[in-house]
Amino acid sequence: MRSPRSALALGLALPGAALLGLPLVALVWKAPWSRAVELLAEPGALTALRLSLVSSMVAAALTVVLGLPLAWVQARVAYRGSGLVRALITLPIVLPPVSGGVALLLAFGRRGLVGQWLDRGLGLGLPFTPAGVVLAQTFVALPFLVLTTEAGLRALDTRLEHAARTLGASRAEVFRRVTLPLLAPSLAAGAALSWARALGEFGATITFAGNVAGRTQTLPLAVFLALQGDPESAVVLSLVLVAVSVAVLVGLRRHWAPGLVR
Amino acid sequence: MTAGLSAAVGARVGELRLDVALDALPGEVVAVVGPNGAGKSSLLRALAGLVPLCAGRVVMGDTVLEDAATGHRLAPERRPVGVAFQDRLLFPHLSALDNVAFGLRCRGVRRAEARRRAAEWLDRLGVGHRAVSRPATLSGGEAQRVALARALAVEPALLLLDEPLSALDVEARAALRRELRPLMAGAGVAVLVTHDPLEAMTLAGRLVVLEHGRVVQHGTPREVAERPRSPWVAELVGVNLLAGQGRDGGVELAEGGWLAAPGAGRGQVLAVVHPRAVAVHRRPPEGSPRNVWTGRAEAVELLGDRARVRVALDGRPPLVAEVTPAAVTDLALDDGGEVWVTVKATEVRVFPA
Repeated sequence: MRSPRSALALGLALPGAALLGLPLVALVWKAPWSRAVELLAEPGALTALRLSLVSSMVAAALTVVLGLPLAWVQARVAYRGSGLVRALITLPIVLPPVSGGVALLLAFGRRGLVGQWLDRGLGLGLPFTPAGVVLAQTFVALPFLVLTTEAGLRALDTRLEHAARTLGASRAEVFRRVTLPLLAPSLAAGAALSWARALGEFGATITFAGNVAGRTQTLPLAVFLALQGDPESAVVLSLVLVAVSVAVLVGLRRHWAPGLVR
Repeated sequence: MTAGLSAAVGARVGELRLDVALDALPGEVVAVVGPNGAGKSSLLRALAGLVPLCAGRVVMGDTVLEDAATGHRLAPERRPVGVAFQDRLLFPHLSALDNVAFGLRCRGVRRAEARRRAAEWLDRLGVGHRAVSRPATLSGGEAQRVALARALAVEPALLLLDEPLSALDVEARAALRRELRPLMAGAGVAVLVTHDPLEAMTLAGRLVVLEHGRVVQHGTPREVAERPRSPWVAELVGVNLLAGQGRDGGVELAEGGWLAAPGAGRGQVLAVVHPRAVAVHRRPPEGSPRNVWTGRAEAVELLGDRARVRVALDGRPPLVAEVTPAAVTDLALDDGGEVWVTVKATEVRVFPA
């Protein structure tokens, strides 16, 4: 038997749960299931899906390459300005993605701070290219990789690394044989989270890389565009994104809700 | 391997200043004992190269491992050491076998050969059947044996054991202690950190007593037991230690009172009173014993067929008396009432402090 007090608490919690749950229910409920395959098979949708998958995976890989050293320094090195860097790492999470896109343009655009040198010196134009899509996605996804990995590094017992050294392992061997294997779960979780974030990225992408069909139009952009012309297609494409997100959450449930898993 | 150890370790670890000289002949087992926080584990970590020296040097045979004066410092992985850590620190992602093979692999032994030798060490320590198990699934005793096998497998010239038996229950401890002796004898020099007097006395040929980062006493177990130089050592070997000023026929105790002891010298002295020489009575004792004091029984501890009673004395340091368990009941020693304590003057040993 539940007490009246917990019944009241349940009642108060219901609207919040409904706000989170109803849109998902509506999406599944109203989806044009009979046309789903046909809509998905449209060349435009497939191209957008392929671009999204490839760019988000490259972005996730980039977050590992760029984020692991950053996480290491934040977790292991005591230096002045560490707090500032921490704020910098967290910034893309709270920053409106559109502003992030504008900032990326000012830095890496054709006349940007660094972009003008890339453009003139190396002939590397990033904006409105698939590489620009990857850069925008990496920018917004990097915090998830760094924060998850940093937490993993802090939780790691450094005495195990000391034990490895007394057994004859050099610093590099300790990293390869002890640190990395112990860090692998955190690193994988961070990579999966950053991949999911990259897959759903909209604001920074459209601002920095534009919405060029077949070139920079990722799945979220295609959904937004389809909503104006063919809403049913937008619903089906959204469902694809939802399915991917749910798959990531299920895969990582040990990380975000260890209490729920036996 | 027949290298001896010659170490002068000066290091700062947190609040503690470590200043320890430690020498060992080839094949010798030295036990480092002392109260918690004395710096025993820090000393091992310094010898292993995990804590830098700020003074002194560590030499193993002809090899200088570290010299603070010249700044020469061999990295931990280049020292001929094997460490069994107090918390074992087995690698959780490796099987017991791969934990033991780890050191061999790092020292360039090929995988198959490393695993074969690791399996031999696991067998030697009686845990061959747990080779494929992950550390998390091992019992405390098994994990301890794997940790020892890991330290021994690299056949170190300097074996460093930090409380290797502390996490075990009484039976497992006794069993492993017996096995440890021949294993340590096979190593070059073994340094054993422990807080268990039995472990120190039975396993080591020499004791080094550490307090507050400094050596307060060293010698063979027998020497240390007969002439403890600090209250902690006295408690370790189970005797009463009283400091004071020697006078004719007795000792003026530093904490108050007079202890009659024929033949006590002059100057600063330490008096050792074995608990067996301390008698406890419920009435004023008859006859004319020279050392009679009053006090209250504070704590009673049963040790098999004997009992130890700690008596708080009026105006004197407390004494531990050894009585029979029957006497504890007959005299109702645990009721906290007044008792009389006598010490036979002829059984007090006095030596210069």
